[in-house]
Amino acid sequence: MPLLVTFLGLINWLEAHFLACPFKGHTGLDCPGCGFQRSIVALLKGDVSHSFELYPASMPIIALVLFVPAHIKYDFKNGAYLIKLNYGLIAAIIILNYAYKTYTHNL
Amino acid sequence: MSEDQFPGQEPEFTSNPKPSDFSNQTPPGAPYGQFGQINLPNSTPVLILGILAILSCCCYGVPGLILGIIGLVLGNKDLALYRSNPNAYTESSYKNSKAGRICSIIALVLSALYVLLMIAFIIFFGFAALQDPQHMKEILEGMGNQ
Repeated sequence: MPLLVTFLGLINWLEAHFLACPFKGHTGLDCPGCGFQRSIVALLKGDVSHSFELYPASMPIIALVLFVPAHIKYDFKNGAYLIKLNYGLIAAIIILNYAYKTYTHNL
Repeated sequence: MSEDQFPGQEPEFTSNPKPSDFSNQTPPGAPYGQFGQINLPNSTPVLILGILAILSCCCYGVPGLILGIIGLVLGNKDLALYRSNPNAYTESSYKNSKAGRICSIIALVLSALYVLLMIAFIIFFGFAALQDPQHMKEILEGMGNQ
């Protein structure tokens, strides 16, 4: 129970301490990285679909960040290839997502 | 009793192993041997730089650009080192360096696109509009009404 309270407190703290995007602050428009922090908080709350809506690349990025230290430690057989694949996927998702947001005027 | 053994069969217990028994441990042509290989010096930093470069896509793409360039330079150094003496370094660290280098290139391209996008925004809307969100909103609403 105290663990759960700490976890919820951490989510609240994260929500109150988002790093402000300078581009969005100046223009009011989203940058290609905007939505990532909100998406991670949504994921921590367990809302996977909302997280995907906010920033589709967040889940592959989390997988990458978790996988790379494990690969450096344990040296998986196809680890380097998987990292490359995941990285390409992330880049493609970011570009497509930004193009989609621009096209549908959701910036 | 030694005549009873089959001709191809080695005796099970030998007090003095021949030197040829250890010959399969070092492949021919390998100067340092299979077990003397070391990791490439920058394989891990290059991978980590590649990951950090894509995480830092905020702040106008500048950190991504810097980290991507550092990762690319270190990765190229590693690949040159490996090509100069492929037998001295482990295969897995070579693969890691290559993967890290490709990650750095992707991050570099993304960051460069971001910087170009910013420049395009400044050209299209003017620097004054970028300083003032209200003014920007008016321009965008004007574009939407057309």
